[in-house]
Amino acid sequence: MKFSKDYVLFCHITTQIEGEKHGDLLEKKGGQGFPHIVFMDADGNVLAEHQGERTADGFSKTGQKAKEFVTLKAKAEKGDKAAKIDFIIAQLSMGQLKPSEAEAKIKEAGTPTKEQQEKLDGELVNASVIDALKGVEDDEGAKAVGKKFYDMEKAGKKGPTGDQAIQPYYILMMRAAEEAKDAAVFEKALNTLKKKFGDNPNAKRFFDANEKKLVEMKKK
Amino acid sequence: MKKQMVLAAALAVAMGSAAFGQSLEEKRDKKLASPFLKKAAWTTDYDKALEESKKTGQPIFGYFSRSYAP
Repeated sequence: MKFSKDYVLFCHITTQIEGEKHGDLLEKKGGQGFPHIVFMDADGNVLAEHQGERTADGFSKTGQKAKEFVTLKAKAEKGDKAAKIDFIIAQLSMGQLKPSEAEAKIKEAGTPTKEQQEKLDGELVNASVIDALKGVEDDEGAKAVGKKFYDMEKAGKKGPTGDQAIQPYYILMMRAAEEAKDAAVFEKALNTLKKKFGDNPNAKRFFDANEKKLVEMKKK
Repeated sequence: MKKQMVLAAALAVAMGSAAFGQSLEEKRDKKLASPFLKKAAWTTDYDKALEESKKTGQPIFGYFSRSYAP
């Protein structure tokens, strides 16, 4: 089996036995349910979380991202200036750095190319959305964050592009747009979601219901 | 017939209580004996996994499971 030769295979079992060494490892690695599957570096940093199909091919795809990260890290550590900036952007995208930390590190590392700057700007948006969502504990919190996303859209700010951020960002924005009776923003958010998830049969009900809602909003 | 039903019920209760009575340690050991862990070179020791990753330069594939519930 090739996969098993490319990675160190580690199985952690949460036992609920008091005092067991690394008993809280699942929580430390961001897990909330079972199974939780991640790729980590030699320091235990999570490089990628696997959320796709649980097959050797599926694991390999996620593993590839982790390997690229390790290669980039090595290149950056050897002093490659471009790799240093790419590595900071990659750390930001994985949640290993907060937006402010990434910005400070970039300043130290040098001037990003136009391409790197665009990527950095995109990742900063993704990270700030994920950061805002972390504070949500109840429906009121979700409503407040949705209003924030709605205001960002009204101010002409770019939305997130990352898989983790895009869905909650636009769904919560739609709720705020509905409350504000703003069919234009509602439609824009809905279309963005359709572009990304329109092919997903599980999302059909969501899209059908919101298409109807949009028609109603436009009538008013 | 009635006797058989009573016996079956008694057996079910006994089996149930045995399962409930299994300690967390026993449940962990049962999980550790899972066939999938024997099919490849898995380690269940986190420190060893980190050490091995440092030595080989290979990333760690971490699979998190539980033993206290099915």
